[in-house]
Formats: sequence, structure tokens, C-alpha cells
Amino acid sequence: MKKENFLKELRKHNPKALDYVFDNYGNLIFKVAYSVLNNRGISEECVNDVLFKIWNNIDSFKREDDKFKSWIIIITKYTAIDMLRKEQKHDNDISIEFYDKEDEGVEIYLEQKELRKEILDEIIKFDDSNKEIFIKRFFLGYSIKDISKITNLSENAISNRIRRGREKIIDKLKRSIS
Amino acid sequence: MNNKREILDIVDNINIDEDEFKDIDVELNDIEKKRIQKTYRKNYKKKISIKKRIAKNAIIAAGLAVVIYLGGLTAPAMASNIPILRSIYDSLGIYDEYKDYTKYIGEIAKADKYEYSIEEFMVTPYKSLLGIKITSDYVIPDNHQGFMISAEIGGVHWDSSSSNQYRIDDHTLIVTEEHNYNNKVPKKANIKVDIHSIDRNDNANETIGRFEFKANFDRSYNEFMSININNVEFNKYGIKLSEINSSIMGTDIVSKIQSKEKDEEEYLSKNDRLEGVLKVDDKFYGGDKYSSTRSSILGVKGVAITKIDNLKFNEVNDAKDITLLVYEAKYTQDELFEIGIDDGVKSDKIMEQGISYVKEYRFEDGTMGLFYGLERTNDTIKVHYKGKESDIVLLSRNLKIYSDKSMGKYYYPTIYKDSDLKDEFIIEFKNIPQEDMSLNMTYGFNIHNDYTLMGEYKIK
Repeated sequence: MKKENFLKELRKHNPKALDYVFDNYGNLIFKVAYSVLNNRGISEECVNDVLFKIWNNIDSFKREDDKFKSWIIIITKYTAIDMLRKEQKHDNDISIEFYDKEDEGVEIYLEQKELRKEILDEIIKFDDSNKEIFIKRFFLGYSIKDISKITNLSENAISNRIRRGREKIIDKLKRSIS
Repeated sequence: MNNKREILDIVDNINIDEDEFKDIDVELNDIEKKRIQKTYRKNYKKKISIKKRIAKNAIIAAGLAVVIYLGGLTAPAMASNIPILRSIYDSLGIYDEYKDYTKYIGEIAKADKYEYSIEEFMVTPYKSLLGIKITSDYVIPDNHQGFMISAEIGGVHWDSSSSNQYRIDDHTLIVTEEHNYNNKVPKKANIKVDIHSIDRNDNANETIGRFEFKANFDRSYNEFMSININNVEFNKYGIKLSEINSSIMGTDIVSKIQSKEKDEEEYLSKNDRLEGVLKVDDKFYGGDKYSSTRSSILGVKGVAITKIDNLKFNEVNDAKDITLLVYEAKYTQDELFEIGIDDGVKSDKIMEQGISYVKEYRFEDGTMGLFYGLERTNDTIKVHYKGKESDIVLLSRNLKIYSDKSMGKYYYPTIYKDSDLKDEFIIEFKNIPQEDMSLNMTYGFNIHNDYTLMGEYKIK
């Protein structure tokens, strides 16, 4: 298996292509998972989950081949945060530290899987820039400071956008729940 | 669309710093690497069968017109008269041939958010086929991990099963479940069926639907024959050929496994090398293999079955001559997985007379397989194959024709030897719809295996 054809082979569900992904990106997936979960055992589980997602969802990856690494990192971070949410439910000692008090409203809803789709439905309606901010904040665990650096928008601007979007989402959820 | 899929679709457009994690000072150690590899390879193997299912589901979901008929499902009519079920059974290739054999059950059980309804049931001495409708007021996610369906007929519990899951709309699934029984089930019996969700987001205990009913399966049960195979053993693999069982649901080549190996996985990983092909008069039939084993301190014990779906009772019953050809594969499935290799295709896919296919295959031993002389007339497709004698293992096991438009239905070939030409076969597919079709032999990795004839055994 070569760098030039492993994605094509992965789309054909050639198992050697998954071996290639693990050989070349396994440690990266583990690092990303560990950065969120801070636990080797759960990070190992996360690597398995991510490989399974890559195998099942490779058709969702439609960008240029050189963006595959980014795609893997995003899937891993999202998966790790999802696992952390589940762990947190069973263990009060684990806490998700990257949300401030104001964001807890959305976070509480995110814990309920049936509401996550509704949250996503709302986020999809945002413009590309706000969509990216919300995905990074609530699904990939980025801090406002980090998002500010990446987007070249001030922290205040990011906070305001998040506040407005959060209000929209919570309002929508409250209406749909009631 | 479920939320995980949406997330993956959205993140496709998100940019991140790829170097953000390069300084995190952790790495997988060798033990962790091996453990992960073992897990995802196991998952991959499970996905082989699921992949087929997903392809079918996608095709059915695309047929939006069928959704319109769902309102009619509440009427207590024969399932075969209900358009949606009829089209699904038809797509499975079971409706026409089984319509005189299945019984409409119509029992309903509710558990948590699911309502289960057993629509159709059919029993042969060693198999049963259930058609179950599952509905929910909630959206059933399109990545739902499925349902576990258990069956017990007259106290005989099922030993292995395979299923197809069809998504009709966000709230309705149709599942067909074929159960195999190592022990013979009675014709007239009390039947127990349990269903529960195995989706990670459901609580399995809360979703159990239980059924208990009495049924008598005359026709489907009676059209059956079993032919014993005596004194054929392959000691180095712990395999003893046992019998050929043929019913309206197909024909099984049954072998008994008794090995001193202590672990089932280890046993299969080293010994799963035998392939059976049945020559019925002048036609060849092969099929997928599966095994059902249990291990104890004495070793691994159970049965291995080659399942030939397209060889039915009538043909076996009417045949004058039946011979079992046993081939030894160079590699087990696990060894093939390790080897991987490329896809064995030499030439690109071509389209001829509405048939998309690969003309040339290259095999591991350096030989080639060539399809040529394709003819399509009315509803029949005929093609010649030139290779070597042992290629019959691949042809009879793997070769299928299908159309995405006709809801994922597979058409199996009739294969016979070209009497004028050595190592050549003639392959015929019948009742093929007038639409573009794909002819494929590359499913799985068996294309990379190399087979040697171990023996020919006269069965009838």
C-alpha cells in the first residue's frame, strides 16, 4: 500500500488500507485522544472507535487527499470528547473543563443524544464562519482563545458570536422540548 | 440523517492546525498496537457481511415510492399481498419461490420505543426464516446497530444466523433473519422468538419483545432431503464430512469439527482451509462457509457448513449424479488478511451489452482467468471463462450478477464445464432484468487464494 493509493483502496474497503492508516496515523490518533482523555486505556478504546469510524465513513471525506490528516484529527477529537462526556456521566471526578458557566447550557443538551441532532440542525443553518466556531467550541473542545487565534477574530467577537448562537440554540431547544 | 454522519459531513470543511498535537509526549506501545490491530481486524471481518446489507439498504431507501404504501400495513392481510413487503421479499429473491411456503404470523410485541411484528415465518428441518417489521415513534437512526433475534423451535435453540435489515423510512425497518440449527427442529412445534435492540444507545433489556406461538410447517418442512457422507475425514484439520442437507432454502454441506486446539479463533485461523463444491449432474455449485463451534478443555467441537443458496431441494432430488469436490486452500482467511495483496484485477472494468465486468484476473500462482464471449439475449446472460480447473472454487462461490436498481438482488449463475475445451467453463444467469448489471468475482479476498483438489466423493 502506498501513500498515493491508500485512500482509493480505503474507499474500496481494502483492509490493507486500514493497516496503512493505523501504521501511519495510529500514534497521531492516540496523541489526540490522550490530549483530551488523559488516560491510556480509554485513549486506546478511542483509537479503535476512530478506526471504525474512518472505515465506515470514508465516503464522507470529500476533500483533497492532503486534508486526510486534518479529518482524522477532527474525528478523533470529536470522538474523544464524546467519550469524555460519557465517562463524566459515570464518574464525578472527571470534568469537562473547557466550558465556562455560560456554555454549560448547551453542554447539558449535548449530553442528551436526542437533542444533539437538533443542535446540529441549528448549527448547520449558521454561516460558514459561525458554523466553524460552534463546531470547534462545542464538538472539538477548543477554547475561545484558540478559536480567536485560528480565525483572527478578537476573543470578544468570538464570545459574542457564541453567545448569540447559544441563545438561538437554547431557545430552539426549549421550544421543541415544550 | 443521524448526528454522527452530519458531524462528519460538517467537519469535512473545517480547518485545523495539524501540528497542534505533535508535541504531546505519548506513543502507543507494542502491546497496545497489537491489541488495537486485533480489534479493528475483527471488526473488519464482521463488516464484510454488513457491507452487503448496507448496499441493499441504501438501494431500498432510495425507492421513495414504497413509503406511500406503509399506511396499509395495519390491515391484517397476508404480508405477500402488501406492496411494500412484497417488493422487499421480491428484492431479497425470496418472495416468488417462498410464497407458497411462508406462514403469516401477524403477532405484535411492544417494548420501550419499538414495536415488533412478525410478518412471515418459514421452517425447514435445519433452518428458519423470519420476516419482521420494526416500527418506532422515534426516528430510528440510519446507523442503528441492529437487532438481535433469537428463535427456538420445539426446544431446539438456533446456533447461527444471518440477517438483512431494510430501512423503509425513519420509523420503519424490515428485518429478515435466517436461523440455522445444528439439531433438527420438529415440524409442528411451540415457537419462541425474542427480539431486542443491540444499538449502543438503547438499553437491551428494555427493548426485548417476546413472542410465543404454535405453528405447523408442512410443505416447507417436507421438501427436504439429507444424504449422509460416510468415512471422509481430513484429520489434520479435525474435519469429518457429515451430510448434505437440501431444502427449499438451499443446500448445506455439513462437516463436523473436532480438534484438540483449545481456542476457537486459533482453530479457525490455522485450519479453515477446506472448500466444498458440489457437482450436480453437469453443474457446479459452491457457497459461503461458516462454522459454529464451542471450545472446552477437551478442544474445539462443532460444525462447519458451506451454504449453497442457489441449489434447492428439487434439483438435488431430481439429480442422477452428485459428486462432492473438496479443495484445500493455500491460505486461511486470517492468513489472507495478513497478506492483503492488491485486488487481483488485471484489466479495468468494461461495459458490454449493459454488463459491467472485469475481463482478466491474475491469481497468486501466476495464472490468469479470462471472461470472454459475453452474450445477452432476452433475460439470459451467458459468458465463457478460461482459467484452470480449480478456479471453479472462486466461480461457484463468488460469482454473482446484480443491479443497483433492482434493490440489491443477487443473481446466481449456473456453471458447467465446456466439454470441448479443457479448463473452460460456461456460465449462465437467467431471469435477468433488462437493465445495466454488474458481474463481479472479487468479493472478499478469496481471489488471492490458491486451491488444490484433495478428493472427489460420490454422494448420489
